[in-house]
Amino acid sequence: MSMKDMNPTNDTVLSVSDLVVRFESGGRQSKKKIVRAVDGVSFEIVRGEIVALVGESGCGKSTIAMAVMRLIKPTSGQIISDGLDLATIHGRALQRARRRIQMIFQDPFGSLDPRQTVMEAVSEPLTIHKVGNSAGERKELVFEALRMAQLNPPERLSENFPHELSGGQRQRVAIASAMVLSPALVVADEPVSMLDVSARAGILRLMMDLRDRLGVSYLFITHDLATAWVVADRIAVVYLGRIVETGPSEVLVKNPAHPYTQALLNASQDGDTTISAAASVLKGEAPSAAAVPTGCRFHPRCPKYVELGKPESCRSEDPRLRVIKKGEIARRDHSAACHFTDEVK
Amino acid sequence: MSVLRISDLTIDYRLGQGSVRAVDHVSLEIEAGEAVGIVGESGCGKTTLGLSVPLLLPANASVSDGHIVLNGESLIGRSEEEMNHLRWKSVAFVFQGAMNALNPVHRIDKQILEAIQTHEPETSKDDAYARVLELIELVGISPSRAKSYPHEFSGGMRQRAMIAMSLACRPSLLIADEPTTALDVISQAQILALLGELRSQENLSLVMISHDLSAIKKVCDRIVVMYAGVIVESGPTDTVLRRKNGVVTAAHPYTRALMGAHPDLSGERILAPGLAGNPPDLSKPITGCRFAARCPEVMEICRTQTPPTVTITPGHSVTCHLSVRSAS
Amino acid sequence: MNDDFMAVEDRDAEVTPSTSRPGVWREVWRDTMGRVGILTLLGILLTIFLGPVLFPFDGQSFGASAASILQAPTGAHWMGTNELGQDVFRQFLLGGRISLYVGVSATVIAMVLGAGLGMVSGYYAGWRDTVLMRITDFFLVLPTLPLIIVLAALFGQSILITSLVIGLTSWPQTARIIRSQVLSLRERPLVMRVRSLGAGDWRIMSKHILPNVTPLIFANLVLVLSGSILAQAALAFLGLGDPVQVSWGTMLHNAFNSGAMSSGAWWYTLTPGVGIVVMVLAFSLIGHALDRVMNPLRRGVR
Repeated sequence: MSMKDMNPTNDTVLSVSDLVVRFESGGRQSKKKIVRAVDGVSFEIVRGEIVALVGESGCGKSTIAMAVMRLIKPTSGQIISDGLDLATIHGRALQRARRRIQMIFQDPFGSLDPRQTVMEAVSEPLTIHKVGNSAGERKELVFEALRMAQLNPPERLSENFPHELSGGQRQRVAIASAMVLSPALVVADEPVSMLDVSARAGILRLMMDLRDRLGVSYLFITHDLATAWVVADRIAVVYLGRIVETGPSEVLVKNPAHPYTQALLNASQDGDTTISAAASVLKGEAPSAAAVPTGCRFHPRCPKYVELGKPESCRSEDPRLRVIKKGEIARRDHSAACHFTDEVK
Repeated sequence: MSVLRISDLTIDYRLGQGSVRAVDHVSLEIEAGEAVGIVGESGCGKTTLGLSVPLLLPANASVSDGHIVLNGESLIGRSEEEMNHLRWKSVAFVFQGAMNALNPVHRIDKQILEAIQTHEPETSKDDAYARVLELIELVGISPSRAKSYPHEFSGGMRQRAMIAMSLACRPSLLIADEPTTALDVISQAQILALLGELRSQENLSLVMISHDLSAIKKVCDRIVVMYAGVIVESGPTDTVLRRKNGVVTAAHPYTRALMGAHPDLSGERILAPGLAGNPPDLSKPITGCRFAARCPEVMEICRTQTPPTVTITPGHSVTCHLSVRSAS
Repeated sequence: MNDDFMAVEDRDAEVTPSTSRPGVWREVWRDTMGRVGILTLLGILLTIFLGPVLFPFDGQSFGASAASILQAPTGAHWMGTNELGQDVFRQFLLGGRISLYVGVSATVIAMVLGAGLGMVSGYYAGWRDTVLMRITDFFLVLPTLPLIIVLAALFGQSILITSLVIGLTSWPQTARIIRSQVLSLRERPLVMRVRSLGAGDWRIMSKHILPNVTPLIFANLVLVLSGSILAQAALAFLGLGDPVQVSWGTMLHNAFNSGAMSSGAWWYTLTPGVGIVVMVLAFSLIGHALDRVMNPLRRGVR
């Protein structure tokens, strides 16, 4: 039994509603395009839950992460955490709010300051938020965080520089610096994709371990559906700025309802009969967020659209997320944004 | 006659005070039309091995032992000029991250044209351009997009353009280093499908270097697993990477660990243990098995004696003490 | 580090100087150009600072008679005398200091303005960047010569004015270099990470960006210094320098005016001329060696 089961309903750590992030792409006035990076996304994370955002590069999942972290300012929508709307607060309030939500980045080397020792890097959050009454106390907190990140004994590494550590170790240092403030939510943006394959399991296991022991929640961003399946409780599949399918991991993977999810699954499988299936299913590139197709944004690439004789509704109506199978609570419903989920797959 | 035969190849890097043996007496043979995958993690020597064939090693690397024979011709010791004739025409190399090496100010078709004209200067411009269009279509890029600039292409399409460029002079062997890294899942599948098609259509021999087992499984007939500069296992992909009902036929613990790292969507929803520690420091002499420090099934003998290479089934061999026991 | 030695597999090969590598100066020493530069510089500095102490020729006193004007080098006057009978060598030693002072002051002005504006511009981007870059462009096109003439006319000629003018016309280059480095640094996950931790702009700039930009500032500083010394010499030669505090450039100016060139008094022009060339060369060599040492791309990939 994990922490999340102990708190089945409430204790929402993050609630995102109708998040929209739009950019203006550069160029002269006449050539400026609106990039709809995130086009209306809503989801919730409760205490101890791991929710994965899965999608191709450019689908907007990283932008969602950045918006939640307020590293970019959302165009509209709400990001509620601990009673505050992170989308609108600023200044001191924002800085205080940052204690609760931390982030781990994809590049374990680029995210650490090459001129800071491990000790300096992990104690920086404490210094910024004025935690700990003395240097000695802060040192203890740092060691505690390093131990939590399975860097044992912490004294041995604390004076090292990032370039003296392996990729896996650097990522653990990043995790330690995120955990040292005991956040409620950690946003992990592709935390293992730049690590050696043999190092990945260790980091993922660490993250899940911290969730079990401390009840910290994760918003886990990845392009790897297989990893999301193993690590996350719930998966939200993102396509061109929208969530097109969401549900508990096992349910979504065993019974994908949206054609895009089905294609992702085919492409992630190990067997080789599926390789041509995936390749033929999705020809060409994902259209860019600067030119989102009308109606269902997936229809130009959707095999089901072709199969069903190019129905008008796919071209003209933007499908909303509809419940396919109810879960024990609303949060765990399996939903998909497709007009034809009932048709034979 | 095999297209490529590497025997006892040993490559050292000079670094500051000491040297590092990146590749240690590696032997490998590739037949015409065969696709071989070299898998391993960073620092295992696979890229060095790949770079050694077209002799594109960095200035501080040297071949200390062994031979490389391409289409019957020995390559070690050849001059730059001689190699220039062979590169691109007999063997082509697609670098890691090559798709980012495209010249941003020239159109794609022009860059491919340049590749052809550089290596086959006798070709007329018209013939060369016809070949450019042929290649673009071959890799699945719509001819209408031939005149685009690299930044107008996505990562997947740029990688296709690189592959087109590499095939410009009809090489018999293509070495691709991490062709699908940094691409998303869908683009990866498309590139792998393309490589598979090219193999059969053009009878191209392929060496694919990757850390991604599933990519190799999709394209390659044979797989070679490298660790810390040596080959630890090699054999038909189907045999080595077979996973049925949770039973794995890979013989080397490292191969098994690599397989475990990628969750099997058709299997159980669990996370495999993964490996602790890091590969050994290759600037220091190594006694015993290089994997001993991290091996979950290590025995005493592993720390002191170099493991022998054992044949498990014809074509499938492993360098490990554990297999000695089970084979006998 | 296990995956450190493969140049082609090295994902970390960016143009950002490798800052946490100790012994940058040791490497400059090992580099031939750098070593020559350092030795030359040490030689010059020793000469001009210890020289007057060790060789107390009287630089100011005028010659006793007409015969002592523009004398060729002798035992008493190592580099001969000038048109006023003063000892050229002593003037050389003293003049070196002036050249150096002006060079250093100008450089300080240039670096403070350049690095400061460059950092603010690069970090904030947006409208601040636009405004600052327009200001930079303005100073970039400002011509040194007319400016100093105007200022000299208004405020008189002095080392201060010279330093100010050189500094004001040198900082734009530095600003641009620092700005582009900062622009790329701020995109690094590192900056995003500390921002997400709650770090404010000031903290990020001073603790994370500045230390990573310092090596670049250093390399640029050395080159700006050599440029400033040269600029000072040129201005003084044109007669725009401080007429009282004799620098090498002023010596050349005097030499020219007194007809030393045409009358064959080679010692008068050669001495300060060689001094300028050698000092500028020393700094340039060091600057270029520093640049090379800090550029991680120079790892010998064919």
